[in-house]
Amino acid sequence: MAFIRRQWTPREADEWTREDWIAIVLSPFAYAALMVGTALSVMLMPVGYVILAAGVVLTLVMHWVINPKLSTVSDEYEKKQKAYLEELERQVKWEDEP
Amino acid sequence: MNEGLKMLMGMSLAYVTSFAGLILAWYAYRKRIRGRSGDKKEDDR
Amino acid sequence: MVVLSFLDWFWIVAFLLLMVGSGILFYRLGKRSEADFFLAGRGLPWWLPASSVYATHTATDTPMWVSGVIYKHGLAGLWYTFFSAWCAISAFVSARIFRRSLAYTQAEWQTLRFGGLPSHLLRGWTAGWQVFMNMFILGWVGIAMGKICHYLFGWHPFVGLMVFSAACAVYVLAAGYWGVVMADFQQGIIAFVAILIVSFWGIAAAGGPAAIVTKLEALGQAHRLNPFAFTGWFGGDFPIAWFLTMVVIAVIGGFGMGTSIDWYAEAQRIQSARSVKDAAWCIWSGTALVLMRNAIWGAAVLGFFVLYPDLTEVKDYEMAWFRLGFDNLPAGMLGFFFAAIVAIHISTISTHLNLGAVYMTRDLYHHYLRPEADERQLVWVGRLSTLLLLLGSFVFGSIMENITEWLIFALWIMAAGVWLPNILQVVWWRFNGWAYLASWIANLVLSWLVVWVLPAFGVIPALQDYQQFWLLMVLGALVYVPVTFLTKPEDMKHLVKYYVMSRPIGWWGPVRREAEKLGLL
Repeated sequence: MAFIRRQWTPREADEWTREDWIAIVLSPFAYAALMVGTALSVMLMPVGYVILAAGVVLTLVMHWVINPKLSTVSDEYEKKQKAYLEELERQVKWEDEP
Repeated sequence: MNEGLKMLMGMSLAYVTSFAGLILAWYAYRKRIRGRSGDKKEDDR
Repeated sequence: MVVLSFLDWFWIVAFLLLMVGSGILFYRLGKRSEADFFLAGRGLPWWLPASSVYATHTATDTPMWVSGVIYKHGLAGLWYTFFSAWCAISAFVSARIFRRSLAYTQAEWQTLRFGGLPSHLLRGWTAGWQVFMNMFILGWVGIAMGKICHYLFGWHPFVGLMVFSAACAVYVLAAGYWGVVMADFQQGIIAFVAILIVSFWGIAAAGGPAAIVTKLEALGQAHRLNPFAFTGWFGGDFPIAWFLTMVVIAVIGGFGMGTSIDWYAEAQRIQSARSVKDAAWCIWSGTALVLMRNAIWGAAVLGFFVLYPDLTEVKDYEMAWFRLGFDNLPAGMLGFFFAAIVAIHISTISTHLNLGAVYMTRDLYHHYLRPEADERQLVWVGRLSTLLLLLGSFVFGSIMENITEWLIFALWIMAAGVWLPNILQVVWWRFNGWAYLASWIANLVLSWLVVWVLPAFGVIPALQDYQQFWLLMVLGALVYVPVTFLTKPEDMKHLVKYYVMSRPIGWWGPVRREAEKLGLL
């Protein structure tokens, strides 16, 4: 599905794109469906099973969309983390530039 | 504990500690920045 | 009062030893450095801090207030618990940006995002406030445990407060955040198992799900099964306007940092995750579990309702879920239930002991008092801070009954007016340190006026809390938006450094262009 990118270069992954917005929109609906669906499913109400299933599907889709991008962002960031940490420790000791 | 004291404590505790932190930060910042500009003046001589 | 058998006490003592012991096991790791004592070396896989997110948000008073809202409103009361849904968007936005900053605390982040004097004033302010907040939460949650122990064993509430907080402090003092997270992992599992067992047992005691549905219909209370049982657009117990405001505050708040009081604890969990991806999933999954747990409680409390439909006092019906356990579980299981309550309790206590200590140590001590301190000294200051928080929580616990009403009031109004600035600091490059500081100070004054002073003098009517929220948002903006444009933007070099490291979402055009010009992107 070319609409959703699954391969990312580090440079592209650092940008905020459609995939991020899809995750942003799906996420709260996934939460709402999981919460409401669980309550109604425990009460053995069929509508609860449907809502809970929808919540699970939304979660899986959200993960499928955003995880490749998050992995690329993560991997690339980790290469630079050590240098950033050194800079942070310089800052806490007031050794960074004024 | 009378009502007035209860209200005063309840309402002001959060603000007092926040301001205390702010004042500490302000004091420390001034000390550091004044220290740095003092060093610079030394270097200029 | 409840009488426990030998087997019950066995469970309780065994669990206490297990929980405290497993925390102490990590003493050697916790004492290595500031980063170990407060962030477990920044190396945790997503599921560990996730279990801490879950365990921390299951506190002793949590089943009480969830019972309260579900008993009163039916399943529609679940939306009162939906405030946690700020994590929905935060997991992919502000958590990601915060993790990339590497800041130990939200206070430290202020000096990364902003620069110069206002950034330090904000760091000091945030740190001071968080030390207080954590002490307050420790007292609040501690006294809730005191009340439960009083109900069960007739102990004076202060005894329940002290005993469990002190036991917990043993492993937090020893192992810091390593101890917190490792103990939270098993406490989370114990708590979840107990919640399942007690909830299903309680539902069975009420006759099972189908019987509960039938009884609710017979009582004319079938609307309690409908999570969307609104009472109209603006009026009644559950207006749509309130619901929409709550959803917006919660969900859109996920773009910001600190829009929920829980952000400060989650920030530590985010930062302890071994990668940006782990940070995102830890927050998302921990919260998903919290919401599903609330749902299970909700169903159980419906069961309690059909058994006792005529309770009118909050203090009676907020014990609903606890009573389902204590009234229905057989001997031998009671002790397991109480041990789980202890697990629930100390997972929250441990988090707030260590969280308050990180603000005292990293921000107030390390950055402002002794920047040259070495790792050993910092760990010791961490321990001392933990002890001070523990003792402070005892003091708070003892005066809590008297000041709670005013304190909650002060805390709510402190937070309501800075909701939008907490988002702007993430998404808008031009929003500077002076503007953010102005928003906090303005909110102090405006919130007193809107919530308290003006209604008392009849200048404005007494408003509902969701109306106060919108009004404070507008009034606050009338102060900090002019301050933004009347003061200089943050230093561009500082902004570029922050932008390249954190890659924030939103309106960052001029900063991005500068970064591109410098070849940094």
